[in-house]
Amino acid sequence: MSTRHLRSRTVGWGVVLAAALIVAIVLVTWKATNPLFFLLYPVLVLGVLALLAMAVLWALRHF
Amino acid sequence: MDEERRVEQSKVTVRWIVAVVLCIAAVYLRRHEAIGTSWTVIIGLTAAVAVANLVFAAILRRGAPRWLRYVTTATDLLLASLFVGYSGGSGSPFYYVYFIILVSNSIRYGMAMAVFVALIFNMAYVAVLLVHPVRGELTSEGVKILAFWGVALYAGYLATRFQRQARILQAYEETIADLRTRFDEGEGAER
Repeated sequence: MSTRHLRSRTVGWGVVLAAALIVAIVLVTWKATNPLFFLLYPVLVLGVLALLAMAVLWALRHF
Repeated sequence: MDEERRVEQSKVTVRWIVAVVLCIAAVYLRRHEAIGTSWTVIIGLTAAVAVANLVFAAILRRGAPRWLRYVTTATDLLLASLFVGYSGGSGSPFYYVYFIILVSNSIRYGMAMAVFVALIFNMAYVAVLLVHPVRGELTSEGVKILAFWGVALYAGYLATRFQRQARILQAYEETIADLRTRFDEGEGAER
């Protein structure tokens, strides 16, 4: 029997945060007035990737 | 010879080829006034690539430390950024060089290297944009950086899958070899 290490609530907040980060990526791309704003991309892209990976792995019952 | 050393030595060979091709392309474009890069910069950057390659080759004669892959890749990206910066910034015809570095390293080293390349590219390209400001909106430049992240993550994913399949195949080969040895021993004992 597998044990679920993450609560569905935590994963739900993760997905909401991932959606917020995607909106932030779109806003940075669309409204950036200085190239320095693009330095946020690594945090935003890797954040979205990590949160979505967590949600997918949770859905597949990896944890 | 260990795998890491073999891979880095192949990178040294490829770096010589790419450096020669880029030098010829830069000289051609400069003579036809398609780029405004000075001769001093073209010669200086070519010399810098040559010196870096000689240093890497010298290090590889003794062995291949694990950090070397990150140092060689970061050096390649920084030299490519200088080249892109001096040949027109965001409008440089040498922008594709970033993709050569990305794909060749991601295929060799997997997802961690793909993320590392995208990270260094992101910072280096922002520096290029600061030195060569773009007229008008920056959206297209943002899309370029995001596209690079997309290619990096996809290349890293494919490389990881390929590495996993290679490991599975190696395990199968070892099992078959082991079974064959046991079978031969059993047949010998029966005789």
